[in-house]
Amino acid sequence: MEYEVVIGLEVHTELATKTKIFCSCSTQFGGGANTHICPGCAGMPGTLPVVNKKVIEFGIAAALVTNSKINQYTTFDKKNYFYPDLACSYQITQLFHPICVDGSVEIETSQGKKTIGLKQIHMEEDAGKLKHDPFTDSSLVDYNRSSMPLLEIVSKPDFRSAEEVVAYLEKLRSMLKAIGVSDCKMQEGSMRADINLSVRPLGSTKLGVRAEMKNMNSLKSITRAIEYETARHIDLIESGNAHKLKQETRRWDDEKGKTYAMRSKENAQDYRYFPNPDLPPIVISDEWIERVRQSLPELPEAKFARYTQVLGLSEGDSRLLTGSKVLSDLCDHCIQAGIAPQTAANWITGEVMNLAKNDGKLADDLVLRKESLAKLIGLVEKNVINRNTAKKVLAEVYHKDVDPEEYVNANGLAMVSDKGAIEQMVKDVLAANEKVVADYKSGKTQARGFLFGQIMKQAKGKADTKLINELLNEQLS
Amino acid sequence: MTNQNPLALAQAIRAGTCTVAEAIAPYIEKIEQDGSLFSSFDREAAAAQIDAVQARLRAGEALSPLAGMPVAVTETICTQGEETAAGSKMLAGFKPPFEAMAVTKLKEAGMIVLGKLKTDEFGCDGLGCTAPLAIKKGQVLLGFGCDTGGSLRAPAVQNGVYCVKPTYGAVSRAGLIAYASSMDQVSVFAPDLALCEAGLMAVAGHDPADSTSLETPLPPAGGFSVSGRKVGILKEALEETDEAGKAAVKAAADAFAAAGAQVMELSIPQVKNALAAYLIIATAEASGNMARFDGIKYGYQTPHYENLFDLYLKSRSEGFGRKMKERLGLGSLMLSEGYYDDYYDKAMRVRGQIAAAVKAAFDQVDCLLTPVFPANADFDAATLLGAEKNNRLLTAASLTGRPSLVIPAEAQNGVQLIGRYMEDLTLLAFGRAAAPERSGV
Repeated sequence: MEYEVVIGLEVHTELATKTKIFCSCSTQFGGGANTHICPGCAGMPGTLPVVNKKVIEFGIAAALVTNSKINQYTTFDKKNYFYPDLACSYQITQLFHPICVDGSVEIETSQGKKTIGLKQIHMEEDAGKLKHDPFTDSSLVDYNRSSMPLLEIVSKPDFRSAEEVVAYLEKLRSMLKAIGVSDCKMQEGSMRADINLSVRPLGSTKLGVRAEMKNMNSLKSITRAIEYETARHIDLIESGNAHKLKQETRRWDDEKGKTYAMRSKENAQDYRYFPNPDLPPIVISDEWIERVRQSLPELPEAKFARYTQVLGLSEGDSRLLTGSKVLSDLCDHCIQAGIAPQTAANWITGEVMNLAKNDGKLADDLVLRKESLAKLIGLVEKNVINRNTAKKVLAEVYHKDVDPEEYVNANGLAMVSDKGAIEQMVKDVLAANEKVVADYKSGKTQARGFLFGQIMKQAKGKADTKLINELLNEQLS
Repeated sequence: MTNQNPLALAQAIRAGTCTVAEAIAPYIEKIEQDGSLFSSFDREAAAAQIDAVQARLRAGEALSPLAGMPVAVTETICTQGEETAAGSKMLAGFKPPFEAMAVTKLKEAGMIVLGKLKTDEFGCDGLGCTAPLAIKKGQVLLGFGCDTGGSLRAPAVQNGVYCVKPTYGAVSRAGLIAYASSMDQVSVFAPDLALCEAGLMAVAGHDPADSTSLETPLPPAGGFSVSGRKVGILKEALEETDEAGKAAVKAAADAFAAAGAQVMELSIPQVKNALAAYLIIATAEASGNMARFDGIKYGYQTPHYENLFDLYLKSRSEGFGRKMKERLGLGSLMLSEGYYDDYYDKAMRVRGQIAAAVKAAFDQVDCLLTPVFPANADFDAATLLGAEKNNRLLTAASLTGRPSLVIPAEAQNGVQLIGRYMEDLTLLAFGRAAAPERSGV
């Protein structure tokens, strides 16, 4: 029999706000235990939550890029359960009126394009972290992460393969990064996924028994866990042991490549959700949504379409440039400064990337003043310096952040563009190399290169190549 | 010196004819004679405050009309570095690293916060709350505590003291140990209405740290007169009270009539459901607020436990008192699957109905008049329901967020006046008309 796997995802992304969701503590990653806490996020009585407006704006932004329907009346609720990492013994989250519902994300896999439905996106706070101390055999709690702002993006059970899941996570990551909502670093836990998976005979419309794998934080383990769990379900069904499948939470062991049942609870936990009376409902006006919409940067997909269709760049260049916000920002700035798109693309994918590679940096990490790059390319375009000089100046710009114009002036790198002077140099070189001229005229075309080199040498490398070529052609014909 | 008119005394302090220390000395003396009403009193800390206020006065700073006056807060209000246990073993030893906004405002206004007054556990129902007695005993001039569903108004009247529960949101809840967040409100108790008003003005005001805090200030009453205004006696409340309650209502009604107000009887049948709705909502909210007391971070921890679950169970079983455990059990149940819709959600709908009905009543009247206690109030009740039943005439104002003023009368009863939303100062003006002989200056 053929089977299909049905997967739904709950993705938690930590938001790139400066402060936590309900207090003004820093969201900085790392730091000593309990150094980013206050009475509020440490759960002391007498403290009250005050919602960070930026979190709501990030929620609106996430809603807009996922085509979700924004609930313009949105509320916070309390989800009650006891655990030492949960400072207040309740998590402030959204159940009754989440910030948005009914969204969608388009993904592309080897099977083509597909739309994944989103049930809802809601805002919530993170819990702290327990650390076991082997010396005292006790657990200690670190509340640095307590009340960190999260968006939980809940998909519909629309995935049918690990490949789709990975494509979706990559798509979410690129979108959320592009709009600055989250840095989505899976290794630092700022993006993590809960996977709900079941298997059913192909063609069946009834869902199978669901297993949940929580807090997965690498695409590789997600793929392996889905494949392992799918196979486990099929094995049990095929061997007549389908009754052994239980609705349960399973832990993925990355080293052993297996999932294990976690201690199962007799009854599903009752979280006793209820509206948080400390936080009045938030009313999101049309104007507010519009303001967020206006502030949204272009998404990678739209940018790619613009680069290929409007700017006429190749798919390869476009992919490289739009794959990094740093590169596309450089490119867009150059174009804005009046440089032809292809010229800008060539400089960035060529010389700029070379410098970054030699410096051991990824595109997103390279630091280059975009105004300086535009100025530099402008100098070449205006024939103030030639390409070779420009490469050297670019290196100075890259390493020492010099102003290209000032640097060219200070070091006398501007090209000799005085036609008379170059004409004289051409004449001098031709006169001094009669044999080579004769060789050229008898058909040795490479001799021309030698002559060109001699002229450039006389010009100390600073002559306008186009002008030399023109004059050389004139004199040799 | 305590027999002197307090506001006149405060004026003498500001004029420099009397020092703060001189004014405060008799109060401190009385606390030192019998400190049983206080959970904490620190003479040194008081002396430091006295010096600081005196210095500010000497520097010519314009302070409030109550500058230099001795006040206290209940132990459900946080004071920095001082034990704030809210009357519960569960929170024993908890010293907040911060100060409640109400306390900050009192200190800014130049009042001397002498100490913390004891309350019943977490100030839930006010049974056994002795805080208002400190006024009677002349240990403080006025006090501040939390009223949720009558938990401060009730003991105030029992002890012959005035109490105003302001409009919800008028005073910041920041630093107030929460019982039922949607109804908790810092309230003022005092020997007369003038001090109630001065106290309210000192602590009221917007606080960005409390998202439910009102953004606009309470409007002044101006030259308000009750003449020509309408006062409605709430029929449902009157039917439930005893002779003392009826007599108190009649006396107030007569005073209103004498002041030119029109007094009528009025029925709001929906308020009969107020106690049930209040109990469900308050205990449900409490079950959330009190969940943080887990025996781990602060407060009481059981000395012996097997595992985490056992730690929770024993710490909370041993730390909370009987009524509190009843509350938490009831509140948790009201929010549980299978109960939420029929209890919590329904109670919230009933709350909406009561609010709508009371609002409609205010189309006919400008002020509601009720007795404070029903007949057969049992001030020794040991159970949750017994305690809450005593306060049932006070819960409607809490559920609807309206200002409520209680005026003590004979036989441990009194009257309650309920005002328009945010019109606390007008309500106090109604109070002066209802009790002209004791309205202070």
